Amino acid sequence: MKRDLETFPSPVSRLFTPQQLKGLNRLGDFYCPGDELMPAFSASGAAEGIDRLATAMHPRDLADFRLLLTLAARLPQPLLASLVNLLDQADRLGPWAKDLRMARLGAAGVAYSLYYGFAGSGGPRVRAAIGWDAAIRSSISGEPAMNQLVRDAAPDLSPTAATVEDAFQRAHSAQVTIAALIIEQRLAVLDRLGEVILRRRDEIIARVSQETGKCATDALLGEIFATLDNLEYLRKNARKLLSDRKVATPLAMLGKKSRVWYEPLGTILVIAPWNYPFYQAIVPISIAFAAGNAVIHKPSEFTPLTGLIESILQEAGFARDWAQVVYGDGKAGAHCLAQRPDKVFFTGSIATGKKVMAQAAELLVPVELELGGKDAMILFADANLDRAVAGAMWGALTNTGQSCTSIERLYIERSVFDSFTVKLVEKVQALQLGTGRDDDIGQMTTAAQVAIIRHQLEDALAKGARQLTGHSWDRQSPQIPPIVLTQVDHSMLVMEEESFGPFLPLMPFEGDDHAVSLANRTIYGLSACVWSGDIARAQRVARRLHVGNVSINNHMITEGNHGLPFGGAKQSGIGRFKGEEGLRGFCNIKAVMIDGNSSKIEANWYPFTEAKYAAMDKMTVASRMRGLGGLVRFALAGLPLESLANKLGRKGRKG
Amino acid sequence: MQDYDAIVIGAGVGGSNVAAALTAAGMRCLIIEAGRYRSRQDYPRGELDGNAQLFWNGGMELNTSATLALLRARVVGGGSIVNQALLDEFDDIALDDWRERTGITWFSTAGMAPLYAEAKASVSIQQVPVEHANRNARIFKQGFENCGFQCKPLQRGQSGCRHEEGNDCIECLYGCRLDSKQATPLTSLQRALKAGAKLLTECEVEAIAEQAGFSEVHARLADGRPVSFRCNSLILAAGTLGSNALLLKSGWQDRLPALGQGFYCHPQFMYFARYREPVDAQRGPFQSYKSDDAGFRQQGFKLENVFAPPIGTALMLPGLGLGHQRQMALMRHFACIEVAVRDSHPGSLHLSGQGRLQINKELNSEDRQRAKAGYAAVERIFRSTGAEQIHSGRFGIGLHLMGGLRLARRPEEGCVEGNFRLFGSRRVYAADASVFPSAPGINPSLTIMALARKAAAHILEDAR
Ligand SMILES: Cc1cc2nc3c(=O)[nH]c(=O)nc-3n(C[C@H](O)[C@H](O)[C@H](O)COP(=O)(O)OP(=O)(O)OC[C@H]3O[C@@H](n4cnc5c(N)ncnc54)[C@H](O)[C@@H]3O)c2cc1C
Repeated sequence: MKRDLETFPSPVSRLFTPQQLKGLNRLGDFYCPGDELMPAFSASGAAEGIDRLATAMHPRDLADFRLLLTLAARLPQPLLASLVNLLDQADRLGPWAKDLRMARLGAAGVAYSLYYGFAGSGGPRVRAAIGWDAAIRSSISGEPAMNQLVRDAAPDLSPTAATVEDAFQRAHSAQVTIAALIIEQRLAVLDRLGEVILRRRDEIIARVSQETGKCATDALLGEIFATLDNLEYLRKNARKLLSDRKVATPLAMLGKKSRVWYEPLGTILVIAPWNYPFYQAIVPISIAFAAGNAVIHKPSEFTPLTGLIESILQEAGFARDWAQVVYGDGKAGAHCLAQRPDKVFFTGSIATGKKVMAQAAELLVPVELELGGKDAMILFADANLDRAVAGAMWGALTNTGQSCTSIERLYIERSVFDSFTVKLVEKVQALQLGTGRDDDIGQMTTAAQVAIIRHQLEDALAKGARQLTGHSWDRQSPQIPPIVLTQVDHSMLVMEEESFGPFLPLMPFEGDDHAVSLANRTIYGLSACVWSGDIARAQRVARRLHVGNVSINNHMITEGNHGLPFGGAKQSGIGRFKGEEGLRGFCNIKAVMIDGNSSKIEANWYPFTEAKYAAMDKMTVASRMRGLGGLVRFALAGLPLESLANKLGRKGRKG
Repeated sequence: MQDYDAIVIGAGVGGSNVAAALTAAGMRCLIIEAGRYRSRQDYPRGELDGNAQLFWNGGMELNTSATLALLRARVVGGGSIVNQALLDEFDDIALDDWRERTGITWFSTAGMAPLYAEAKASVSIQQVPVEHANRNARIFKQGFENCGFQCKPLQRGQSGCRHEEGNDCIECLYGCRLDSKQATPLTSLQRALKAGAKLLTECEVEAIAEQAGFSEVHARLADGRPVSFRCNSLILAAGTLGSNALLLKSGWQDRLPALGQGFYCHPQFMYFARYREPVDAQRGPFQSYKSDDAGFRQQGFKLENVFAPPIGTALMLPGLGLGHQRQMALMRHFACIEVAVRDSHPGSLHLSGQGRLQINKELNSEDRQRAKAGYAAVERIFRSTGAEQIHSGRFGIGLHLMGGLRLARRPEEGCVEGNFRLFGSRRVYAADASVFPSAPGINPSLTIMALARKAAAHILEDAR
């Protein structure tokens, strides 16, 4: 999912629009108008160097500077001239003129830096005109030894294969202790874990917000509340779900007992994503631990929460090796997988999921993959529109859209398309950006993700989409306002590839079939939602969607019930997490039959004889007969076979 | 999580020297630096990229009233890469003031002598060869003689600038491509790395914390990845603005009531004088002389024989448009002298609502008087040497950023005890210019090197 920032095309500037560059040239010409000797700023090509300068600016200065350039591009010449003159007087004015002085330093500073820094093709002429000839004329060759010294001094931040191997060794020994605990003991530890999380929630929220940029409420609900909820589910259900299960024994095996035992798998490797770094650590660790496993947790290198998970587990009473954290990037993950864990539970992108599965295939390590999604919302005209608008916003924007199950495509029945759009735009504009407790929409977590949003937006706009909100975004900042798009279609990346950002692309549909075919038109199959006043119709449509999870008149709430399984269809994943299926997914599901210690020799044991064959044949025929008659025939065929087998078994075949 | 005996934040003058001393004594040290490592082969050429690549915020950090531009380096080596490497010992005036403020008895010329001797022995120091002095320097010297002021040749941390080969040291404001300037990667930092210190570059520390048995550092790599480390002793050497910002961001203002108070910067004001004949101030040694005048010292300023490359000059010169451009065309005819004020009135450092460092620093009437007295001397020098026109630089500059974590007797008066440990802390120290109790009015680097040695001795003693 990562794309290199550098690959985005831009002829002149990556950081400024053509209009802003025009503003720069207009402004520059006031400072360096040019004469017979020197070129004018705009004729010197100096503006070409703007990115060299701007990349070093503080983001706030950059934002202010963009504003100044936009202004400079738009103001009529005489007005701009007065503005520049006013700024130029600012040094002489009192302390109150600080903003003017800053603006002058910004404007003159950039103009002079580019012009007298000889940034453009006219640079040599400027240099000659001012007679600038300073130089270092001695040549010293050879690479200073310091280069090598600095390279060697870099601490290795990734764990070595040896540390990983050691972690797995310790996990294997620790797992024996975990398995020896009775379930009540494990649940008591998890109960304390809940207490510790609750008590330390402010600290956890602060750390998570700091590393992810998410707003406080997203962190409280998505990381703390949801995690505690899952612990509560385990407390109430794990004992029952992990107890031995009786299974009916068929008639032919009369007298034996059939059981399923849910045993630990051993050591589980959890490879977690960066979007819910706390939840995605504690929830798999606690489910796997409840089932008696040791865990190696490999957090995302972007949100490692270094030290936090260990410290919380330790305070809850986890022994050090019951659940360990191994830090690092994909290489560290590969090192871990190479240790052949008993299962790998991976959450992340399709691309990385494929790599994990390929490596696991070599080693035959069982995988569970929770991959990306492109979740559709289908809204029928008879749904409560106000509720649907509010739901769509939350579904698409929670965690700034960085949830695998956030709504990424909105299909709206044509008759309400316009009214829905108007309401949505109005509501979206009222949302507040920031990471505080009063804010709705936090920041994007990684630069690569910001680049994807920019790329998808530019692609959509180039192909004719209309952007209804979010114009204030400078296409750089990680604080992206919600972007509502209409006139989108499936030729656009924003409708085809996972966005993981605050997009709300809207497309109209007509009729159930159309809605279903649009919604299913994707390689993903994670979740979806259907909104309608007619619940039966909504369910009919929901059954036709190729997804792992579906909500009706809501979104993402299947995840809220920890008793429900979670997982994807199609390329959204393999396996199910949470609920009964999830808990048992971390188990070796052992089939058991218990027979008595009698003198009986089983009919199907050796030796085989003509007579035995005939009796068995009768019994096979009888086994297909239904009703009481069939039962009696089966018993009649079975009884002689039993005594025959006993005799033969003891004495052997007669010669 | 990786563990070290000591982590030093900042690979500048203070950080490199403290790390060298700690590593030499056997400590496992990690140095974390926000900037990149650059060698003489890849220093940026020229002012534009130099400002953008070697300084915080592209070299544009202003006080709140936008009257002073403060420069701080962001590169392995910190200020020692971009500074002028003038190395001067403090005099009785400066040290007596410090002793009075802090009660630290070794703040005296005798007490500092062994530390200065050690610091000086660790670098190559040369007198800037006066035979290569350019006309800018000769005007300076001539003016001093004309007016009866005292000046003397500069002592500089350098190992040979080969002026006979025609090198212009103004180029080395963005890193010395001759490896002559005694920047820390050639000296203390190199010794630290050779002795086994680890260095993590392009990694900005965002917060620090002190726990029951250890300290924690939370930082971010260039690609946005956070990393954290644990250590026993934690040493702040992120420079005055860096160390203050770090403690403010980490919420230490509750523990340290004087955090950010007492910020000094030796405000400097440049004056350009135009001469009929070309001056060619850009050629040869960048500077050759400094004022050595007891009268100036008493009046609280000194004069420096300096110049500025084209962008800097353009920003300083008055005028707009063609008038300004015509002055720039006469750049070769400009000489330049700078007044450096020994500021008596401290400023303070805070965090703005958006978490950005806010620098409150103004000249009070006393400091304005000092600047004015300096200008009076400059004017006499220029006039006595035949200047045609004098231009005052449009704003002040701060290059010697000091204080905010001042050494003090009590937490109400500063942040750092005589043993360089933060008040109330068991393992967090400061060892850069932020511990300066006041403005000495003298180039700070040599004293930062000396104090870093003293700090290291205390850290080692505490760790024992
Ligand atoms: C142009 C110029 C000329 C000068 N000339 C002279 C001179 O001739 N003589 C003299 O004595 N002094 C001179 N100085 C001043 C001198 O260079 C400084 O006083 C000195 O470098 C300060 O040392 P320090 O250890 O306090 O900080 P610095 O040397 O500035 O080192 C601090 C380091 O910490 C790093 N850092 C900051 N924050 C963080 C963070 N959060 N995480 C990681 N790393 C961080 C910075 O990038 C920097 O590399 C000059 C300064 C300038 C700018």
